[in-house]
Amino acid sequence: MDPSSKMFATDDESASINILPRGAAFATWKSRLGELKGSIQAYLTAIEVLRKSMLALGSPAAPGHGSSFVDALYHEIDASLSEVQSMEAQLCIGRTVLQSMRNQSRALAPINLLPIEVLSRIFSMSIEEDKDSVKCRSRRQTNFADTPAQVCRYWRDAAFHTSDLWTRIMLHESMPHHRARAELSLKHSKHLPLHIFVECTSEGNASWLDEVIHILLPHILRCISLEIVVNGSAQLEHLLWGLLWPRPLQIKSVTWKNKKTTNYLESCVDDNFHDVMRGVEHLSLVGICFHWGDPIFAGLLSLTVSDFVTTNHSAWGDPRGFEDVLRGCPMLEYLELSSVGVAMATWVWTIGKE
Amino acid sequence: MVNLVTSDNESFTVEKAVASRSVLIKNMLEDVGESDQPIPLPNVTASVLKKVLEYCDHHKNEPMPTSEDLAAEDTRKRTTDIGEWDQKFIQVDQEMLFEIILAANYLDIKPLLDVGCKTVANMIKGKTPEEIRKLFNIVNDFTPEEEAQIKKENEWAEDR
Repeated sequence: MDPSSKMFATDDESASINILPRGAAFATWKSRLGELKGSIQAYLTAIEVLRKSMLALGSPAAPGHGSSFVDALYHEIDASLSEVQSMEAQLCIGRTVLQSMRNQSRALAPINLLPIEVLSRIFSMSIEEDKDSVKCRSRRQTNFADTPAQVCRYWRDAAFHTSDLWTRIMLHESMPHHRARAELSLKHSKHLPLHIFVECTSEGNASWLDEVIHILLPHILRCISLEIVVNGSAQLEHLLWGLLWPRPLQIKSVTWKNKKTTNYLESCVDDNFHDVMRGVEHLSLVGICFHWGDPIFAGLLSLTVSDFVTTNHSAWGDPRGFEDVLRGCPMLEYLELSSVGVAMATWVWTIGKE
Repeated sequence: MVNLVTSDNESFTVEKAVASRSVLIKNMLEDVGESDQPIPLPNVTASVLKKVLEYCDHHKNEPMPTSEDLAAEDTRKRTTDIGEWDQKFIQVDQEMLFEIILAANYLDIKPLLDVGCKTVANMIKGKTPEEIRKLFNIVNDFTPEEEAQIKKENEWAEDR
């Protein structure tokens, strides 16, 4: 391929290439670098001379060197130091420019010959299996989507161009830096469906919950999987009313977990949310009691219920009632029940007998 | 037969069915009509075109992807699986691999572009940024400020 058809050179770089042939530009740069090395060496020698001179100042045999002279020297050294620091910063910029030029070299890094659109296509393919799942993604799942933006500048540009990489939104109460990342992801994911994870760590931080709602609400219609971990019913209710107040949503996967097992959520998901929950295909409830009402889960494919103690809930009711719920989910392919208490054990036994 | 001329001025005479795997060439042939005029391909060298034509020849009897296929592509599950012949075909050095991808992109041969992109996707999947740099001989060209920004953006990953 003709490298001239590439898009890498910025306007500034093109201009500098027009002024000087590349070989001459490098020769000039190398020569100046050599001069700089020489200057630094001379500077170090001068420092040594100065140090010896200062030692001499301390001795009584140093007439005519008063404190104003010493102060002036200090100021001069400070000024020179900041000049050197500025030069060092300029050198770093030059180094970065050279590194970027190197990354655009046909011979050295041929992958960067690929236009951003093609690189972006590759990134999308590299997370394809991950992306297509509507199930709530585990927080601990390795997420390759973060990787391309960390490789080099060119890949970072391509990663920002790839909406697929930014569809996972994570907000954790104890990690305030998640907010900046979530906002970045919401921006770059453009119009694509989102996987959202929210975790509360305190038992009552309404302002943080409001902040979460403020960040997510403009994008909630794009949410296809929603995982919420709370420390009590009030938090879940707060989030659900703020985020999911009955409206047509496209959520396919819901995971709600209550870490505070002494405070079971009994009916926070009531009739008001039937429309919201109607399209859900994967439902996982941990420590949460759900109000099973109308057959709103007809399309449910998987159901996980755990940390459920019979004596602590009333909405669950007779295990036979749960049988009715399951009968209302004809497409159910996967059912997992754990720590669901005596009554559920009885139900399992009953089903087994039948 | 169709005559294709590469950027390094080499001519290739191929069947129309083979050349037409490229949407670019197919459209050119339709626009020009019956003609003996060679088709210049200024962005493709002979060594790359040879490989591309090998692919086109092998797949010449397969149906061309329709616009509906392309539109549906984004909504259905794509995998990074590659057919056996295509896998062997694409076992080339990195420079040739990227040249083939570029040529497929320029000539608008989507199935070949997919094979190339899937191959690279499989190479980078699961690797760290450093491993990817090493694999493709890329250097880290971020400024210290950009590095700090990236670190901040990815602090969340450390919590997972």
